[in-house]
Amino acid sequence: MELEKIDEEDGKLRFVVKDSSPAMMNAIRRISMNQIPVLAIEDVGIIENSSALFDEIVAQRLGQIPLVFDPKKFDAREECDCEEGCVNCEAKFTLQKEGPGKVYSGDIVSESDDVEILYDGIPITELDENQEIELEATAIVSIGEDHSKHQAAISSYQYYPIIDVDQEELTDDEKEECVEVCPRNVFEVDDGKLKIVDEKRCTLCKECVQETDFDGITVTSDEEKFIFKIESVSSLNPEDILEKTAEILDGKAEKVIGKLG
Amino acid sequence: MIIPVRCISCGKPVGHLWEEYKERTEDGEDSGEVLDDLGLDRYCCRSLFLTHTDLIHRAAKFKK
Ligand code: SF4
Ligand SMILES: [Zn+2]
Ligand SMILES: [Zn+2]
Repeated sequence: MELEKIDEEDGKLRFVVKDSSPAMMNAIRRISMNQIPVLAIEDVGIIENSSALFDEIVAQRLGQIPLVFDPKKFDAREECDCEEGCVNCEAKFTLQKEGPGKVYSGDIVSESDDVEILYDGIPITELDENQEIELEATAIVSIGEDHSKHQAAISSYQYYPIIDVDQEELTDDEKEECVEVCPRNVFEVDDGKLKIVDEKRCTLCKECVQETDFDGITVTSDEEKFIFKIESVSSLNPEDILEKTAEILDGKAEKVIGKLG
Repeated sequence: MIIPVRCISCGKPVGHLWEEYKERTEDGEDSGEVLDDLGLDRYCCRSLFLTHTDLIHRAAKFKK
């Protein structure tokens, strides 16, 4: 297996994987989405909530807010040595605001120095005249399988496209049509020839094949080569997620081998 | 009611993008272009923004 990075922007990482299989790709996909420990608010103690949203909904909204944390510092609550929760397995927050006005995630106060709210502008609720909200919250580390608020990333993969263009078979009109019809702008016409600008953009939709009446262009997939995408939906960056995924997969494989032997 | 914190289908955090989206579309910008700009490229997130209506300020007038 060989990895080659294509690009990374706005927390979205794309890379090419060579000499692998769909089984392996799917293992990476599933682990990166639902096996990576991520911090999220779990328990909320409502002291006062006279806003239009019910307590449960406020708590559910708080749970979904992405938090910045140090993955090395936190243990799962069940695995921690303490009984009642400590700084190694929990992070505490408070929120207090009086109306009128909107309550944002930025109004939440973190009680630990190394835990922060990732986005300040998430609306939590809205307060009218004489309405008030006051609460305490506790965040824990858990995995996406447990609850989707702990999901680290959205991952996907596709086969690497192989696009074959037979220049002789295609008329000039057909070439122009291909450029027009491809939703991903894979082609361009240059010097009377249909050129592939970037085959990595291709989604294997085969619109171009159909447009040329199955004659002139073939689009097939390389079944041992993949394009993999990891988009972070937590505060972790995609490269760290990939690294952690490899570590977890390794651990799982060890466990199976241990059981066999 | 109020914009969801995360996209209800894919789980991407989107709540913090709503106010910018609302402001810019109300100023006459094309909603498709604003969505592209905000990095909402999946149709689940896009439909969430296109179909959302803020109603919480009305609900706030009634007793819970
Ligand atoms: S298969 Fe679809 S995306 Fe790929 S080149 Fe043809 S039209 Fe473009
Ligand atoms: Zn503990
Ligand atoms: Zn979505």
